Amino acid sequence: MSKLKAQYSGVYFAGYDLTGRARQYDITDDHEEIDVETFQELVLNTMPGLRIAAVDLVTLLDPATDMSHDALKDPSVNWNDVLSILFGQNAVPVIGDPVFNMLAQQFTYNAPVDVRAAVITEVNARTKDFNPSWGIVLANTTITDTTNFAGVDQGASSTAGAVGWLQALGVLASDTYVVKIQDAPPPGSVWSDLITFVLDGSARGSERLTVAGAVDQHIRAIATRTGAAADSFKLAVGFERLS
Amino acid sequence: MPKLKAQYLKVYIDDSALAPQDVSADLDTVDFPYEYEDIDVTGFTEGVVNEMPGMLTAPITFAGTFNPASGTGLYDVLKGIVGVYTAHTVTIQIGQNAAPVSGDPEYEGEYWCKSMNCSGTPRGKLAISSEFRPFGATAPTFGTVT
Repeated sequence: MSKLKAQYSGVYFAGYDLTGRARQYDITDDHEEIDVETFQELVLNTMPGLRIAAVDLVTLLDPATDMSHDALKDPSVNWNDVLSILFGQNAVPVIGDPVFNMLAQQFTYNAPVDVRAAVITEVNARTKDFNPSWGIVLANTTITDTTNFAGVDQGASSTAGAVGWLQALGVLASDTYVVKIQDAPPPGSVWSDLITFVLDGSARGSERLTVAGAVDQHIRAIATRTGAAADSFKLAVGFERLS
Repeated sequence: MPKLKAQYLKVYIDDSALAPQDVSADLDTVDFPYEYEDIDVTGFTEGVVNEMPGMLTAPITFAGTFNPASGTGLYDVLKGIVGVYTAHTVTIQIGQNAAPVSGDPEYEGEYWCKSMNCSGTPRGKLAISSEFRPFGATAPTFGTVT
């Protein structure tokens, strides 16, 4: 896969699907600079300092229940929630596609209204406590029953742990799910639990969890249902192997 | 050869394994100023503001299209080196209205990757931009392709 257009991006925040209302995103992943030049050196040179991560989002203001206005109108509610931007490879984002995740604090909800334009809102969210993550999608769909999602072969195992991200994009009427990330050695058939999320679909929300140590080559997400109502559960799972 | 168009620029960036990757096809803008800071040494009774060259600044800014191709795509290369404080060679070859060949101008230096920013709108490409800063005390140089 080569160059991507942004048309097939997915945008989720705090368990709300903003994809159908988002119109622009700007992701900043930057570092402060620390001057370290000394006498008789030939060029100004610096070192990376603290990491800076933020997302600026523009959405249409939709006041319907559980749409963009409900999700974003009170920044103080979104002070510890996951912001996820999925990059579909010129199609709707699927397993294996790149994804940006950030545990975010929302700082602004501005509405610069123009008589000749749609009502839009501008949101600024900044990272809270942890580095953002450029990882892969392990699930991005709606299910009604226990699902073992397709695995991703990441080419090699690692030893520095991993971070998992979950967006529970709705509220189930009666069923609940246990969502996990699992790993497996080659050929990817014997799976072990790596990360077990707390969110179970009984409430809308988002979650970030980490695991330390060894992570096998193959990775997948699973969602195991308790109940028989076959409620529709929309979820997105992201993963990054740390190094 | 007189005036040149930029179409035939070739850009190599060291990946996380310090192997040069040709990311030219994913880039559409390269900005590589080569500037000296100025030190004001104007003194009393002098008739004009006058300055001396200070330290050389040589940042590089790239902009282009998000390409997640494993190992060679611009996103994959930058993801592996952003914020990593080791020397990564950046090479910009300037083809003379054709693919760069031996003897063509070349700019090269050791850099660290300061940022990787992405942006998107429904009607546009998935854009990516990145800033690099010189690593260490040796200045990047203009030379020729070998």
